[in-house]
Amino acid sequence: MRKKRHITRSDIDGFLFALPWLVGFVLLCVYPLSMSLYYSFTEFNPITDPVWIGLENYISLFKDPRFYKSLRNTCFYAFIATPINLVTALVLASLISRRFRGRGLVRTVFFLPSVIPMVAATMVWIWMFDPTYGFINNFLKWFSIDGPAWLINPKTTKWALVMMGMWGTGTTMLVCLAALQDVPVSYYESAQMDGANGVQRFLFITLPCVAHVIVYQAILNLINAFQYFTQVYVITTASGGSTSGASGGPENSILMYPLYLFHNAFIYQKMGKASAMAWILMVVVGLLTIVMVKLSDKAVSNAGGE
Amino acid sequence: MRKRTRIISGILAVLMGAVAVAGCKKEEPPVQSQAGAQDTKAQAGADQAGGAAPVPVSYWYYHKGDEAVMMEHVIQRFNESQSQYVVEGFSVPDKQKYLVAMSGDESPDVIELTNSEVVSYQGSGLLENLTAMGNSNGFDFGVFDAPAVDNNSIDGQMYGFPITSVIIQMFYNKDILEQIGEKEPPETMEELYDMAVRATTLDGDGNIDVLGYPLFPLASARQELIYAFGGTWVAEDGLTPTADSQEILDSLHMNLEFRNRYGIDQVQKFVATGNTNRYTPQDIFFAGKQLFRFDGPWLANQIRDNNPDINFGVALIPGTQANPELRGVSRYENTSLGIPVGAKEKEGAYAFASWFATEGVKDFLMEIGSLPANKTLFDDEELMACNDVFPSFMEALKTGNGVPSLKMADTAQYTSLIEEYLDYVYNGTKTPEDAMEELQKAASQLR
Repeated sequence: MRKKRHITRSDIDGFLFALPWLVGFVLLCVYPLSMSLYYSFTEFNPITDPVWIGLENYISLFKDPRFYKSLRNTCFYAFIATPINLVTALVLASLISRRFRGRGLVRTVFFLPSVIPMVAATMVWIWMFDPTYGFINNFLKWFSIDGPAWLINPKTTKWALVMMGMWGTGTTMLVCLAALQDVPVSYYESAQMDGANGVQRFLFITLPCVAHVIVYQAILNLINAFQYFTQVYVITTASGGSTSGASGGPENSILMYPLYLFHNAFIYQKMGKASAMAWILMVVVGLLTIVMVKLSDKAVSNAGGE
Repeated sequence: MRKRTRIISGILAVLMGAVAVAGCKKEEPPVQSQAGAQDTKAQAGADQAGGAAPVPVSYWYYHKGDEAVMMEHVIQRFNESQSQYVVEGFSVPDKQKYLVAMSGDESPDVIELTNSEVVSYQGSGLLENLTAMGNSNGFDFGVFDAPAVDNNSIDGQMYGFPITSVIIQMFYNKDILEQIGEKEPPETMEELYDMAVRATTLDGDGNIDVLGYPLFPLASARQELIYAFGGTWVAEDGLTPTADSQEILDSLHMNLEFRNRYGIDQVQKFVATGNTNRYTPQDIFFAGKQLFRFDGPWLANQIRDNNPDINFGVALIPGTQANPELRGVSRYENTSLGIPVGAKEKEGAYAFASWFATEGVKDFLMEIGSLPANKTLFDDEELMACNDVFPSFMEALKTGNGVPSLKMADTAQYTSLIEEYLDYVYNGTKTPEDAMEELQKAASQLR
């Protein structure tokens, strides 16, 4: 029979020390989460009281073409931009891990975009994407390439976002750099003695050794991609073409899931539907995270890690 | 040691509780205006002197910065004009605060409103019926322009006193017009199209150098280009979608014909540049690269600030050969004053709002540079003199061709759908017929 344990003074002290966090957690996380779950089964706007409508918000979402469009756009960004960003970050990290004059400056330059406020950076990118005066099309002109209207042509808008994403890979690059520097030099020396060339060393030593970090970064980048909001919000509101205040770019080509959630909540005033979207997003991201963690475990065990 | 630990943890717990309670404290009112503060002092003075103290009336408005100062001048004039009430103005640009205050018990007495807010607030029972209040006070609602009355009415009852109106008309570059051998701007869309084609030029790379057809700004192209053909997005009731009407299709066909003539990609690129550089020195109109531009009277100020040398004129937006009487057509929007149901001083609120919309509005319009919703000011010479383009815009107002705002509960959703489906047409993804049919179907499910 299990012996009944008395609450000691030490337990109370511990509880009191944890209390500030507990209060914050309950008030700022548990309560809003529970309320948003409740709201997802109601119809309400900021003026009126919530009215219970059961699963209607979820059903209407699954019938809504824009819901699927926003999901497709977000998946495009998540599954195209994430690998590109990871490869870019890894290549940059490999380059700047070597010893050369001005290495510190180069590292700073590559990391700098990560500390620039996103709104300011996006405004600058909007100018850079200008088809006539913008840097990108003028750069392409040197190679006799007639650049497109990046942010107004639905075929190029998402690729413009991918380009913007590549520019901001500084944090991932830094994590990859730290992982690269943890790879024991003796591995490379042994491989070199066995006659392995640079590509082989990268594929068979570097990559397995940093695989766990790459998978971890992939999880983080994927989750971030599903929360991709600021850049598209700035682009769609700064374009000046929308009278509804709920633009998703040309043909809704950059209507990302969080942006559509925002439109539902604050433009269409459909808080219940927005809450339902938030819960669907949570489930999707949760499932993706589980899959990625499994992959991560596999990658670590393949690399002979712990 | 243990005692000290317990004391520290106890203090932390109390502090945390205090922070949580502080977060629940009653919200401070927004920053009070200078005029209101002075008047409150005057009220205190009156109290001390033993006279009847003026009753305070709170007024929340969106304007900030210089425009808030102009609003304060109106408040000051009202307070000086009588001694019964003292209006205290508050600059509250945050729309969420209005909702919170009005649905709670902190409602201001008078608020500034947009047309869509009249619909949404009234739909939630948050606004007083001004027709009833006005009738019992002998107010003459006939002073307001018909579209302004429409914008502020639900089921024939007014819920807002219109203060300013916003319309769009046609700016044109006189030099380009002269280059194509024309002296007068077009009076029909067919004439406009013909001039636009003759004025549009390409550079050595095949990119558009000068744009004739008014495809930019996008919002104007989406509205005035449609209205010029007699198309509207809803029926006269303001509620029933009419996206697949023949007038809208006619407009889209002409639009698409122009785009196809010069290449959709080329047009997109030019419009994108217009978009990025709007109201900057590189603005396509200021740079002399746009023949016709549908825009508001503020464009004249922007021209003055960015390129005063541009030789421009303003004319009424054309009608069509079949419907020439549509000249001067435009979207028609207002800012208005409303009285929330939760207002504590409704008589004072009515006194201020009705005074502002009639006696007090002219000075405000002259100061802020906006067009009137009050018909008695359409021929006012002083008001016309405050902006070079006002005479043309007043002429447009007098045509009565203003198209009132949508009144659907899901207006934002419908507008967003319109934007999406027009993109399909403009990008050549769908034919006008298919796109508008789909839009009509999608819109019919909205409220």
